[in-house]
Formats: sequence, C-alpha cells, structure tokens
Amino acid sequence: MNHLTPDELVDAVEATLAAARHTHLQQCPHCSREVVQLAAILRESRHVDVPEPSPLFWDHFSDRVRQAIAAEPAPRFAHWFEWPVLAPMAGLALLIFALVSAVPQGGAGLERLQMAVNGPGRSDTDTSAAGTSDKMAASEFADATWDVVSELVGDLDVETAERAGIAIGPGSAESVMLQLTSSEQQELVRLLRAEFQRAGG
Amino acid sequence: MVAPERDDAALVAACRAGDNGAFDEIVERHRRAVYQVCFRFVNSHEDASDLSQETFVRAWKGLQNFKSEAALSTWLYRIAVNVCLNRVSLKKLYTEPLEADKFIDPRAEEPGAALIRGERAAAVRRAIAGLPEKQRATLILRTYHELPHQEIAAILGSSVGAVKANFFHALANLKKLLGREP
Repeated sequence: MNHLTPDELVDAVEATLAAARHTHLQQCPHCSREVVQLAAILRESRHVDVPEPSPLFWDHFSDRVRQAIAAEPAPRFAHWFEWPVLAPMAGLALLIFALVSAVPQGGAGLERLQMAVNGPGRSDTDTSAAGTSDKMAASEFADATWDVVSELVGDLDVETAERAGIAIGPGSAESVMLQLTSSEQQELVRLLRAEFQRAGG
Repeated sequence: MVAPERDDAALVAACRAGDNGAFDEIVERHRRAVYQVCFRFVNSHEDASDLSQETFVRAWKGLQNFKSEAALSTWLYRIAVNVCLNRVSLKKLYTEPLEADKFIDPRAEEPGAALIRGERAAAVRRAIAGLPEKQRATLILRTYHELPHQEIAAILGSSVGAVKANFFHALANLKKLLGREP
C-alpha cells in the first residue's frame, strides 16, 4: 500500500487530491489521521491574526515611507536617460566638438588629424576621384585609420574641454571610442572629413 | 465631486509619470497586507514596521521593473519576503515579549478565556516565526494571503513541488512545536 506523499497530503488538506488517491485516503487510517491533523493545525494557524497596530501607527508609517523615499535619489523611469545611453552620446558630442575646435588652429596636429582621417598620401581631391575600389575598401580604411584617430583624441587638451564647459577624465575619450560601433566610427570619420573640407584643410 | 478611485495599474502608471501622490495611495492601499507578511515573518511589531518601510522604499525604487500583467500585491509580497529573508539571515530570531497580550481586547470575552486564547495565538505566532525560512514564507503566503502554489514558487524561485513539500513540512513542524503530536 502506497501512503500519500507530502504533495498528496497537501492536496488532500486543500481538497484537490486526485480521485484515484482519494480512494486510498478513505481506506488508510494512517493517511486519514495525518490529513486530519494537518488540517487542524492549518485551521488553527489561519485564525491567528496579526495584532492590529494603532491608527496613529499607520499615519506615522506613511510619513516614514514618504521621508525615506525623499531621502533616496529619484528613480529613473525613462531608460533613454540612463547613463549607459547618455555617456557615449555625451562623449561623442564632446569628441566632435573638441576636434572641430582644434581644426582652425592648424599646425602639425591638424596635419596628423587630416592624415588620420584621409589616409597617408591622400588628399581631398583623391576622394572626389575615388572609384569603386575605394568604396569596397572604405570599411577597411575606416578601421585602419581608427586606431590613429583614437590615439590622437586620447591626448586632447583639457583646456579645450573646459572651454566647452565639460570636464573629462583621463582616458574617457578613448573609453567612448571603444563603445562606438563600426558604423558609428565610420560616421564620425565622415563628419571629420566634412569639417576638414569646410575649414579648407 | 470625489475623484474615482484609481486601480493599481493606473497608480503605477501615474508614479512612472512623476505623480508622487500616486505612490502614497499605493502605500495606503497595501501597507496593512505588507505589514502582516512582515509581522508573521519576524513576530515583532518594531521589526515588521521597519521591514514594511523598507519594502515600500524598494518598491518605489524598482517600480520601473514592475510588469503590469502581474498583481501589484503579489509583487509587493515578493519584495517583502525577500526583505524579510535578508533581514532574518542577519538577525537572531525575535521572541515575542510578555506584553504582546496588550493587543487583546478584554471586553470581547471572559478574561480567562481571552488570556488562554491570547497565549495560544502567541504560541502559534512564535512557532511560525521559528520555522525554517522557506517553510515560513510558504506557509505565510499560502495560508494568510492565499497565493496559488505557482505564484509562491515564482516568488521563492522554486518549483511547485518544492512549495508543496515546504508547506507540508511547515504544517508538520507546527504540529510538533504546538504539541499536537499523538
């Protein structure tokens, strides 16, 4: 004879025992006694209330919750404004602003930037003459020059950032670079090229 | 004209839209049930009060994670149980003080009967608070809040079978602790 399992005893107490096992329960004094005792303890427990605090407690409780929440930083209900989204965007904006600000200053730094963006031995007129092979190589070109661009922007002077009202930490520009996707990197290169052309570089 | 009472989903939406008063309504509506879960867990008014407060603060901070297809009460129970489990693991179990019987209204029945009933109720509360954590959580959610086994399993991160087993052992342990063993 298979006695009821703990699961089945719970089902029996809750009156959801399968019909096939109910037959056993009716015939087995051991299982019947067990179910009666469990049901009795459940019934007794169910009737034990939690002591009701005073009405004054509830007023104070709501105040306490309100104060505790007021002491917490505001929750962020809109994911769009969370830092994983904002940080790369702010970094990208800072980067573009800083690079564009650096362009009119000319000199060796400008030449290095232009070389990084346009590639060694290339001029802007080369771009206008670019053919199909250039398009095919565009992706590899962007990747190849990207390391140089990253290296250069990693050394951006702090004064430029401060003039923009934004303080940057050491390595933060490089960190932002690493978070950009390949297509975002290509877009940045395109923006830089356009800016160099506009500045007559 | 009195504004119509908002349901839980409307209150949650209002909170997300920045209506702080909506969360006050949520607290007012669910504070008693949350307090009762906590009290049954720790068998102490002071601790239950602190745990309930912590439950609502966590709820407020995590409101953006609340899935509106679930009942708000069940979500709050889940937070309350987790807060209680965390606290209980850090703190020694509380023993109900003698003055617990101050809650009994002596006008309701004979003083002797009231005392016996009060003592028995206190013994049951102590016994429940002395159960292992998972058994305690299962017993509280099933017996006093009538949650289905499936929902309790989701709250405790276990299976329905484990919930039923915990419920059985909780009742068996209560039987022993309260001296009903034959």
